[in-house]
Amino acid sequence: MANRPIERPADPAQESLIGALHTGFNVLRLLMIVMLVAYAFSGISRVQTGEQGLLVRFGRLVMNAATNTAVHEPGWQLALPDPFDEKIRLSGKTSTLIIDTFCFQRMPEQMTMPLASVEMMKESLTPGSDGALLTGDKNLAHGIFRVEYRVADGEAFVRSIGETAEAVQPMLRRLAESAILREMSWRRFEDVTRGDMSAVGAAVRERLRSQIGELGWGVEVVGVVPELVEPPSVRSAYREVSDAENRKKETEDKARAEATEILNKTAGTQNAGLLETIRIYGNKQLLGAPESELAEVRKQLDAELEQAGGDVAARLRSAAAEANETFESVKREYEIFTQWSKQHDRDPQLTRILLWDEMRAAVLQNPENEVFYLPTSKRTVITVNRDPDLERQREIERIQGKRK
Amino acid sequence: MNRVPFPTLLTGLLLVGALAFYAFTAQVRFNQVAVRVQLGKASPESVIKEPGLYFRWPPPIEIVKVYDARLRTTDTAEAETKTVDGKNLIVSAYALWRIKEPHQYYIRVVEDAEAVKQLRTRLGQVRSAAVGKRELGFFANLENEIVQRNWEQLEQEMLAEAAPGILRDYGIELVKVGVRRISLPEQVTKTVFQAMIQNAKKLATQYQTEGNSQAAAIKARAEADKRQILAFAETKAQELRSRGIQRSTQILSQIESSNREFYAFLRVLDALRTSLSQRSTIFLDSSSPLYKTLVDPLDGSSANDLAQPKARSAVSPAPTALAGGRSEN
Repeated sequence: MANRPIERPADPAQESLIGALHTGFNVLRLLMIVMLVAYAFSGISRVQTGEQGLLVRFGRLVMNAATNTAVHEPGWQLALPDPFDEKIRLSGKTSTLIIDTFCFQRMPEQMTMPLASVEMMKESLTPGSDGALLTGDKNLAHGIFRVEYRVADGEAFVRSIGETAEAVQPMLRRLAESAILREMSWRRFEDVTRGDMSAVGAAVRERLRSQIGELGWGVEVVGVVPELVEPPSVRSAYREVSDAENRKKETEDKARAEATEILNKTAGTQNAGLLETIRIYGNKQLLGAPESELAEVRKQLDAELEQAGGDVAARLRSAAAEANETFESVKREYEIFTQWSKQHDRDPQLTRILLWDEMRAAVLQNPENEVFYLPTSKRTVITVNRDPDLERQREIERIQGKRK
Repeated sequence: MNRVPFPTLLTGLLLVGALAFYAFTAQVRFNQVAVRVQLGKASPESVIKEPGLYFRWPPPIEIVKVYDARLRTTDTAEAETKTVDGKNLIVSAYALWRIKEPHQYYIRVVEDAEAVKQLRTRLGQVRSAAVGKRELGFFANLENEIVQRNWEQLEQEMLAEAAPGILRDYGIELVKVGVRRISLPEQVTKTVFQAMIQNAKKLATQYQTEGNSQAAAIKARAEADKRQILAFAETKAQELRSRGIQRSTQILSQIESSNREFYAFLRVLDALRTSLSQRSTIFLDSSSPLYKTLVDPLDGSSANDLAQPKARSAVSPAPTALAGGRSEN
């Protein structure tokens, strides 16, 4: 007789429990499947604009077939989930490295102040804590340099430097310090502290670019902004230098303004052109240019003189007026002469007496003249009255007479 | 015997697989090199330089020591060195380096901290030797080309001096060696500052003098230019006047030669009238024809004397003693 399982009567509570467990298990299974799917797709990511994406699979960089490099351009990136694939994102943003190796020690509250306004109480520098730059003329300057850089070649960068843009900073700092030291070591203190600082920045940037290019870091140095100042203990002395330099400029500018005024007063605003033509004329004369050439320049010079203003114009106007006046005067005299000459032709003696008489009357009857008739005597003494009061009185009378 | 459900089995297998994966594999990244150390022994052949996934026996049988093969930097401490011309300089050097021979590196330094310590010592020696045989002017002078050549030479020399030994002894490749900072001793900085102050004072005086002389030169130049312009203007003015005289001469040339003496007579009269028109003192003495006429109106000779055009000069008809011009009283 075969053993048959004994069928037990169904317990509703047990059945209910079994049902609930089944449901719970199914939910859990579903949840696991969802999680599994989510895990499977967790490797998919997006490389943002400006970023460079790199993928590491079992330690090797996964090459991008499109670019034949390991760098994946912005867009969706398919990858295996962790731990199979490792994703590296490199920001394309410009980072700033501040190099204050060559600056004197500052208090925390002075960190944001411009270097030129930071005071230092001591009169010497403590090696180690106070940095300084030795210039070509063996003086000392202080400076802070802001080196701006960005990751340009992600593959080269991760192979030689690291996996974040900041990873390059220790090495970039050393290269920059060395470049700054070298750039300052041939320049004059005056030039770096009060001259064109941007030239120092540009030179350091070029030096860094060249070295980084040789080392193949995949980093681009965008710019180097220097802030260079004289040591605080010599600042007041150099402020006086700045003041003296400003005064020098002012004096020169004033002299230039005066010179311009002199020349404008002389020949108006055309003085520059006029002077240039005069110089050309002088040079041609010195070089023994042919007469025709000289005449040509002289013609131009005459034209420019005629157009000039100021004293030149006044002088030429006066000469022209004088010439005209001479001409008019002679013309008038000639007219008088022609009037009298007919009468003179008829009776020269009478005409002359008449004319002489007119002249004599004009002279002797002129109330301003004094006429003395000297009697016939062996000796005549003329005493000139030097009484100033009398002279003044006569002058008053003369003026009053004129007014009337 | 109960049958194990498939999902459970799968999960178990996955877990065992994962554990085995971690226990029996070692990953060397693209930026790393590694040394296999089996039961404490490492040989040059045990070096892994290529990235990838490698089999290994689980620790402690085999350890894979992984090192980052990328560039690193190390500085020397700042130390005072006397130059050949007796100047004290405080120089700090740096080196860019990477692991070249992982086996040697593992044997000689094991950890990076020890490598840095060794590097500092070696670099410090090289730096002191290189700086000590040079003058201060080698590091700073106003000849750009010379200074740059000097720096290049110094860096090359330090690199050539340090690199072979460091590679041989520690498996480290020195990529670049340079100077990152030069300082002066505290007392020297004080002296330098005093000299700078003196120099600044000299400079201020120089600017002042330069400004004044420059201004004087600018004004002198302007005055010279003015004189030159006016000289040319005067020449031009003379030309204009000359033209006026030429035109006048053309008018006068119309006077016939027989009448020219009469014209001259008119001009003399006009000149007398003009010159004796203001505050003149005139003396008429007894010899003057005018005076004679005044005393003796019937003496006709005096009138004749006045009107003889040919017998006398043009001036003679005038009173014989005329003191023209302004009297001094």
